[in-house]
Amino acid sequence: MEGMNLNDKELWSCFKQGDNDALKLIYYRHFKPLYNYGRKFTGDQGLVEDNIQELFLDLLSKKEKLGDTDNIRLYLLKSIKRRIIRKLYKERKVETIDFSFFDFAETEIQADKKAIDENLRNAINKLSEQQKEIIYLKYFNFLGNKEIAELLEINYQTVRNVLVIALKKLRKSKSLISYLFLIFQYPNSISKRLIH
Amino acid sequence: MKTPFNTIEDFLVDDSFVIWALQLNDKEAQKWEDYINRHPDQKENILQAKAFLIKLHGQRITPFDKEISSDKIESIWNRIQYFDKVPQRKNFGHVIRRIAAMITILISLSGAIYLFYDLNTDHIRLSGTQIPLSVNPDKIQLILGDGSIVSLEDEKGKEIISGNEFSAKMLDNKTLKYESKIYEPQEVKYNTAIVPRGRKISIVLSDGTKVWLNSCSEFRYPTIFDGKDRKVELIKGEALFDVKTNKKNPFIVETTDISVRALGTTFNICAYEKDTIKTVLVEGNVHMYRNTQPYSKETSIHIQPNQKASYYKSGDNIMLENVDSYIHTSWKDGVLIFKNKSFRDLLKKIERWYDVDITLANEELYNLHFTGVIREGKTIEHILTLIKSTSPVNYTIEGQKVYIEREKEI
Repeated sequence: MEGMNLNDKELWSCFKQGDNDALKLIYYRHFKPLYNYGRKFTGDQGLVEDNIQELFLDLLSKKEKLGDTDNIRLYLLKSIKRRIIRKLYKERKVETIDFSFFDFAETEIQADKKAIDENLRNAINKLSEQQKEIIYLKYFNFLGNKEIAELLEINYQTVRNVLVIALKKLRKSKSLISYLFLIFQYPNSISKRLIH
Repeated sequence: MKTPFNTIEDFLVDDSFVIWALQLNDKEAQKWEDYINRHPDQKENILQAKAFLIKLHGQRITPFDKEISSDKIESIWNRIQYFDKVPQRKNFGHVIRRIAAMITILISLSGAIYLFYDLNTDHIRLSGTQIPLSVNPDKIQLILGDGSIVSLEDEKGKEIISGNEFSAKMLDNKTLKYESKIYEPQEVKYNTAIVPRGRKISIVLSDGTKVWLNSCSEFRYPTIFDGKDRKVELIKGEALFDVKTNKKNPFIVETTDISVRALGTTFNICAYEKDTIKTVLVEGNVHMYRNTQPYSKETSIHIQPNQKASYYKSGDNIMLENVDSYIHTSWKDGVLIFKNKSFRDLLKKIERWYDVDITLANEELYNLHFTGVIREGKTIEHILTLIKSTSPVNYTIEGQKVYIEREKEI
């Protein structure tokens, strides 16, 4: 598809001008991250699917009125979060939002065995929900600190502080594997460390 | 670079550093190479931070997207495309506001079901989600070439048939895939799939053509196609074909009275009714012709995308009309769509999907009309509750029998 090389701003404006392929590209590019993020708030898979469907239907019907965005991912994550929480609130299920999205399934471990580090995974699982969410948004959805602050409706400095604390915890979990990785990748720096 | 970088964490929280370290794009590359050159004392920290990010990212903490197949993602996209085309109603007025209150109640009752009054047609509009098929204990069966019968196990990867010439495996719990181990068979052997009420299956034939079989269908097909016409037979029921393109060997679906010939295309054939056989074309082009004479371009009807050809046995005539093909093929995605459908037709579909027999006590109820969408979800009670809440009817369920009567006046 031609749209592959467009940046978010261009893609978004193509879509607003009625290019259906642009929306299709947006849909397929962001579906899984949206689904993953939506599932954080609810165990109900159908609810997440429905809300993604409705989100895109709304985009289609309101495309003339939509503003510009240069970060489609952020825009979509914001909408899906708002929608799902609103729906859960209506059903009075809002108190059950404590679903952890870092519960690794067994099959997940098989996926990429070499890269999996049990210590690090355990350390991630021990983080608070807010720490997990921010780590997830930053390093798996590549949102910037400002964007995370916007999405979570918290202060920019808070995002940084939470991140620093979480990262310190995670880095303490460093296991043998990471040292091996460093030896492999950066022999000089490691040999220096070994002398100390 | 305003923020001074002192610790490893300082690098890790920096947006531009993440982009560079994980190589998301190369816009930041020059900046960080320059930075390292200018601050050799920070090189150690930078490399450690980069290695940590790569490792963290390698933990792949996105477990949920495994729940959702690419088929599902596609079918949600199809639904979006479909619903977008359904015309919007104007002037909802107070009636809709009154109904809006009902929506909430129903959602909490039944998961997620929405109700609207379709003011344009004065018919009730159902738009629902989350109504899966009840599982029928009757299994889908295959009759093999030697006459023996196998039941399909809903087990992923399970080999149902394993022979010298071909094998048939369950790809997932609803797809059976044939694979040929030889180039061309000495003689063509057939399998027949029998799909009971309440079940559906898709079969990938040895040429790669995918066939979705709806409830109450019987379908006979070669286990391996020989190098001639690819002939299959829809004995009864409804099937959707996504034909693998092969201009040399046309794909021909035979039914009791007519045949449909295609080179590579998607089309739906519905042969439930005794008197009518309907073919709807999604894309490509197909020809429909009577079995009483061999195929020729001149004597066959050319069907174009989004057209429906209905063959009426009694008059031996074929009628061509324009339709929205998704309405006729959405059952594959687990979606039932009704546009101004009579209660009689709606109940027929429900009977097949849910494996029940429905009796209507009052003849005049057949005249009710429905427009709406129902998605595979939980139980038949949900659909019946939905109908009840929008129409003056009551229902009782006893085992596989459903009895619907006019609501008594209070």
